[in-house]
Amino acid sequence: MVEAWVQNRPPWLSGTGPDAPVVVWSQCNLMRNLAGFFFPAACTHDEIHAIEERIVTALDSMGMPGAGVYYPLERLDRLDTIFLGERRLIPFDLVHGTAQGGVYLAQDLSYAVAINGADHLCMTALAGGLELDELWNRLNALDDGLADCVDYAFDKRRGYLTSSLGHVGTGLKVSVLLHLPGLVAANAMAGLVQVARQRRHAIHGLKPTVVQALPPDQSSYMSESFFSDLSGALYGDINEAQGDLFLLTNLSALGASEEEILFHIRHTAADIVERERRARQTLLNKERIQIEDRVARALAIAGSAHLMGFTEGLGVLSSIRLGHDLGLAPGCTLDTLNELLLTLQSAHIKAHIGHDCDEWTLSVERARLFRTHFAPAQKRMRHRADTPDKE
Amino acid sequence: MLCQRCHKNLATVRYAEVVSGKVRELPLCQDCLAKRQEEAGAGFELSGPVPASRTGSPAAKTPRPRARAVRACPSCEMHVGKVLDTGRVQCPACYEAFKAEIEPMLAGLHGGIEHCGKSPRMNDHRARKSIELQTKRALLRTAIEMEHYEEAATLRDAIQRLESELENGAAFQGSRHG
Repeated sequence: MVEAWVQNRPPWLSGTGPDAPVVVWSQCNLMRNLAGFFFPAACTHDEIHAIEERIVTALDSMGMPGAGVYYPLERLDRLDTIFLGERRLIPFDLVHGTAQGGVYLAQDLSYAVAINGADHLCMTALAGGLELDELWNRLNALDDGLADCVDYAFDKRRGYLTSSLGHVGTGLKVSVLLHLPGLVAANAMAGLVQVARQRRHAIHGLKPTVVQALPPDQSSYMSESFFSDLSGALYGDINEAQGDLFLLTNLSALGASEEEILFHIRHTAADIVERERRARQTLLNKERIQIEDRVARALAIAGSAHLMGFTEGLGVLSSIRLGHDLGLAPGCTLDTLNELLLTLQSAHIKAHIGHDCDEWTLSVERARLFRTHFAPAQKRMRHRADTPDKE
Repeated sequence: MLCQRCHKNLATVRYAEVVSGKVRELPLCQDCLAKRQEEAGAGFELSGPVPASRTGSPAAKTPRPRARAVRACPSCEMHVGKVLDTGRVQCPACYEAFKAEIEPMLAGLHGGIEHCGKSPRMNDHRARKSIELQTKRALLRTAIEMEHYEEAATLRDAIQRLESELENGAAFQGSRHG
């Protein structure tokens, strides 16, 4: 499967959305359960299949644009599942293999519906930049269409009932991935976390999750990836963030409408973006040489390294991304930088080379991927540095 | 925030109880704190500011695990202890079965316990518009408070449009039935 998906480039990579490049992508998840069934963790095998059949039939009959295909996880191999997790199309509870679910994927991957993870349904959509309203419209239409075909577990007072008490109400989880090297350098992240908490939002540091091989694929090697975790347990503290990447999410799903949740997240994100832009400008004005050095070093590593670990790759990408925004990395495009953020993950590299491999091979291939993209940019930088200034 | 026990007074203290090593926090008013302490006996601990009336007494005592309730959901047989430990339920009926335990948790997690969003059976066009209007009015207040005047202007236009749509709809219905 993965061979076909790897060709399908997610539209959010283009980096053209609002508030890019500080906002890398936005994601909305909508959780729903069918009435008359236990939640998946308490369901029998037969019930799981009955739920699956109802949802897939409903999705097939809706005639959504780019009608999708259903993949039961039992028919996917480990690499396929982790690959979908890295693209954030399925939540971690499905990646981890504890659930007997599946995923309904739109052909253009514009949305995905994870079935029988922690909840019967988890609809997902991603967009580049801060594009929350468009995402919500996409999921809302999908949700309305499904509500015409199936009965949801809904209570007038508590809203949509979910397995986690943290999602009951609207069942809406919004995540915004932010790249904040300026605020990290200014030591301003702790204060920002406090501000976000007052608005019932959380800011997590993004750190890689290591997935060990699970039976029956005992021969598989481990993977380092970023997964979508709706409970937030996989994400780290702000001090644990790798590559200056932070995830802003809503903590509250009950007591406010979907529109209000989106409004507040959008404003918190826009506020952070504004602070980050100011911090970058201050950094450029006060520490120009240090920033130029950081970017040039990162480009040198990216263009010539022969071994590259996951964490090192993230650090290098962060510096180049900062350099690109400040006009210090000529020849780099946001499109490439976004793509590498996705393809430096283990399952993406394995999909690229076409087979499972050990950590050493991953490191070699990751470095090769970076060299392919950055060797020309590094040469340009070196040429610029060697050429004496004529003025 | 309101006291999560009486839901009447303003919560002035955070009451933390430790059950099997897990800390659970409840925002309480002074009256309910006193009642809760009487109920809990010696096994309580305070976090946050100590109320003025009690500063003379020892504020923190050694936490003592309380006996775990063994109530179970009549539908899926999940035990209440597991709900409190994991923050998860196994079936829609759990929400009713553990109402007393879940409601304070929901208030702490979300800041509200009443659903205000969309509903799956909102086929009534007018009901949908009314809810949209209500949401937009709340957002307008927030936008003005946050000094996002451009957004406030857009919201005001949307509110006027919705109001006139609802009025026209009422007039249309009135003439049809009249």
